Order: sequence, then structure tokens, then C-alpha cells
Amino acid sequence: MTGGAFAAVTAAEWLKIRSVRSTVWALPVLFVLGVGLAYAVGYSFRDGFADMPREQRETFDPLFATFYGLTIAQLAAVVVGALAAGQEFSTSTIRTSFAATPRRVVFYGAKTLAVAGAVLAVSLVTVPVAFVTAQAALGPHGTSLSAADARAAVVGACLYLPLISVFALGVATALGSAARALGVLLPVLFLGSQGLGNMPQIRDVVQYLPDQAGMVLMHLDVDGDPQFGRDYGSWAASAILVAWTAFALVGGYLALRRRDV
Amino acid sequence: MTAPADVVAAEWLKARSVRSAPYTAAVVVASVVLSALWVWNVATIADGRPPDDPVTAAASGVYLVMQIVPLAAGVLGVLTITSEYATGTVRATMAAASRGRILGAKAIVVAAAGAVAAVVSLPAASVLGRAIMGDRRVNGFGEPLSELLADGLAVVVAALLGLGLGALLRSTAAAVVAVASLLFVLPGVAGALPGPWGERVGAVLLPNLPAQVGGADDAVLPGAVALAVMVAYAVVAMAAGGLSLHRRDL
Repeated sequence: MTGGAFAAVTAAEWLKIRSVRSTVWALPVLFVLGVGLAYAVGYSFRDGFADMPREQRETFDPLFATFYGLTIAQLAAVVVGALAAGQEFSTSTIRTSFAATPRRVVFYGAKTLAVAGAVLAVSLVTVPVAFVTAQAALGPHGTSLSAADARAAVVGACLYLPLISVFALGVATALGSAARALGVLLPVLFLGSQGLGNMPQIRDVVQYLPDQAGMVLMHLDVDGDPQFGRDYGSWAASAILVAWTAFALVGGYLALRRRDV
Repeated sequence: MTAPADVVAAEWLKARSVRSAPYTAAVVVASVVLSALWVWNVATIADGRPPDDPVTAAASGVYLVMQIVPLAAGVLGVLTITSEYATGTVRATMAAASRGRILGAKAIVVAAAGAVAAVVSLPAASVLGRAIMGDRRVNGFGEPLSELLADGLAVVVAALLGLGLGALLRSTAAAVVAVASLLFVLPGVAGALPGPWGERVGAVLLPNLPAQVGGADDAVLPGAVALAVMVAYAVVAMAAGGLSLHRRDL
């Protein structure tokens, strides 16, 4: 297979993403939720800042207010990844796709690339706009890109969203269904973010789930806190996330290679 | 015309023989175990605090059950109808009896499944939670019987909500996303809204209704209104799904 042929398969996958109703809707939702929540969370912190206990005011982290919304907006990225792979099975277009691209690894690689590219493009717009919006809403309590951890969090968020989307793509391919993948991923990702990751008895294990690594990447954890802190930093978080994504992709490939369609 | 009881029996046979049934049962059992862990966690924190400064935890014994079981019930409701569209059996099903009767039979089956899930998980988690917590003082722990009953109703409502949205959207993925948004995403969004709006929007969201039915201190709606809103979720979703099913081609 030549590079030109791979480009053609990728172009075909890109065409699917931008012409299927669900993905066309989900990507703007990522932007709207990410930016809208950045403003809403920032504004509510600014509004209630004076009423917060002194201890909380002193340890207030503007990055938490900035990127908390992305833990909800990531749903859209997960949906895009799961649907891009899963809809092929539920609509049976997978048969046509395999007939057109008999080497399944090429089809799978092109789809992964198209999804990663699309979500990365939306993230590169969403994350900076969300950052600026949140700082405007936070006003005097905000931060700026001159802070090293703010820069790290912005870069981390831009990488996290495409990676979690590709992770979902791998899971949906492995399970052969978008619905099954979403049924597993949505509760796991949301329960993790909503507090399961803070329970001491299971924290040691749960903190390594992909969404938890994402929270470290976006600086949503609390450094050194026994409950809300995590035992690893940004670099380890990137590695953990990449490992999860690779694991899901390989799992998806092994299932895809043998699947009768 | 097929007798109504036969239609219900047919729907029951489908529900218990597809693969999602044992998965749902496993999730329900797992939720009780997780709930007990959660209470244990709160109890550990409570032990480390001085007696004059008790822990405030929004966690009743059934907190995690109510995070998990309504979603499982909702997904089961969704699959009850959308898997028929995905496999094409919907045409055979709708040929067997009138569409309204089919949807009614499905509603009876998923409501019963939701009720069973609630009866299995909620009392067990509540009793287990109280046993683990013992006589520790934790603000906000424990739920009155009325709230526990409302929790059970919320599980049934979630199952019917899933069925209604499944009939309306006819796609498993879309309906699962819609149910998950109503149960997980919107409460998160409402919590982020500034000032009184977060409270107002949050008050009418399904996960926040059972506590208000039970007359929680921070309730925004009176118990009867909260109960009516909860029922309205199921009624509106089923009406929309039923109308769509009645009007559209298969």
C-alpha cells in the first residue's frame, strides 16, 4: 500500500465523520460545553469567593475552575470516538468498508487518524477559548499563561481530549458496538470524576483510570492532598493515558482482525 | 389480535433471554458492594474527626446505588426497543400486535425489571450502610423511608425514560447518551451554574428529586411537586416515544 492510498482511506474516514449527523453534532457540543462551563464555573467561583471558608480561599486553584467543565464536555469526545467505530457495526457499513479496504489494519489506522485529527482540531480551538473565557469569568482570581502549570494544563487538555476519544474508538471496536462501549465508558468516566477516585480504599487502583490521568494532565487534582491528590505527575499521567489508549487500540485491532462481518 | 397477556409474556421472554439481562443483574449487585465501600470510606473519615466537628457527607447508604442502578435501568429500557431496530426484529414484533399494545407491554416489563432491581439493591444497601456506619455522627447520612421509596420509584422512572427515549430516537447509542446526559451530565452542568440558577435547574433534575420527595432540609420543591416532576419524566418520555412509534415507518 502506498502513502497515497492510505491518504485516500483517511480521506474516506474523514468524509464519514463530517457527514454523519451524530458526529457533526457531537463536536460542536464539545466546544459549547467546554467553553460554556468554563464561564459558568469561573463565574460561580468569583460570585461566591467571599463566602468560601478561608482555608479554601487560600488553596483556591484557578485551573480547577478553568478545566472542570472539560470533565463533562469530554463526554462529546468519547461519543465521537465510540460512534465513529460502533456505527459501522450497527449499520453494517463495515462490510462495504472492508470490501473497499481489505486490509483491516489500514482501515482501522485511517479511522483512528481521522478521529484523532478531528477531535484534536476541535480541542485546539476549544481549550484556549475555554481558558481565556474562564479567566475573564474569574476576574481577579484567574491565572494566565505566564504560569508554568497553566501552560502545562492547556497542553494537557489539548492532548487529553483526542486521546480519550481514540480510547473510546478502541473500546467500541473491541466490543463491536457503540452502545455497549458507551454503556461501560460513560458511567466509569463520570463516576471516577465524581468521587470514586477519591475513596481511600480503592483510590490506589482507581487513580490510574484514564479519566483520572486526564484530571492530572489538566491539573484538576490537588497536589499532596491524601484524598484529592494523585501519586503521579503530568508526565506519568501522559504515559498512563497513552498506555490506556494503546491498550484499547490493540484490543480493538485484535477483535477486528478476526471478526466476521 | 394477540391477547395483551401474551404480548407481555413475549416481551418478558425477550427481555430475559438477551445478553444484557445478566449484565444488568451483575451491575445491580456490584452497586451494593460499591455503596458499602463508599459508606466505609465516609466512616473512616468520620473516625479521624473530633466529635464536636462531625463530617458532612452527602452520602446516604444508597448514594452509589442511586448513581449506578438508575443508569443500568435506563440502558435496559433503551435496549428493550432499540435492539429491535438494530436487528430488524421490530418488523416482526409490530406485525404481531398493535404498536401501542407492544409499547405498553414493553413498559410493563421494563418497569417490573426496574422495580426488581430497586427492591434487590436499595434495602440491602441501606441496611448495610447503617450497619457499617454504626453510631458515628455524620451530618446528612441516612435516608427516611419516604426517600428510599422515592429512590425506588426513580429507578422505575429511569427504566421507562430509557424505553421512551429509545422509541423516540430509535438508536441505541443516541438514546444511551440521552439517558446518561439526563442522569450524569446535566446535574454536573447545573452544579456549575452560578447563583440561584444552579439550584433552580438542579431541583428538577431526576437524580435530585428523591431527596426532595423525602423532605430533605435543602429541598427546593415541596415533596408532592417533586413526586409529580419525577412521574412526569416517565410520562413525557413514554408519550413522545409512543407518538413517534405510532407515526413513523418502521
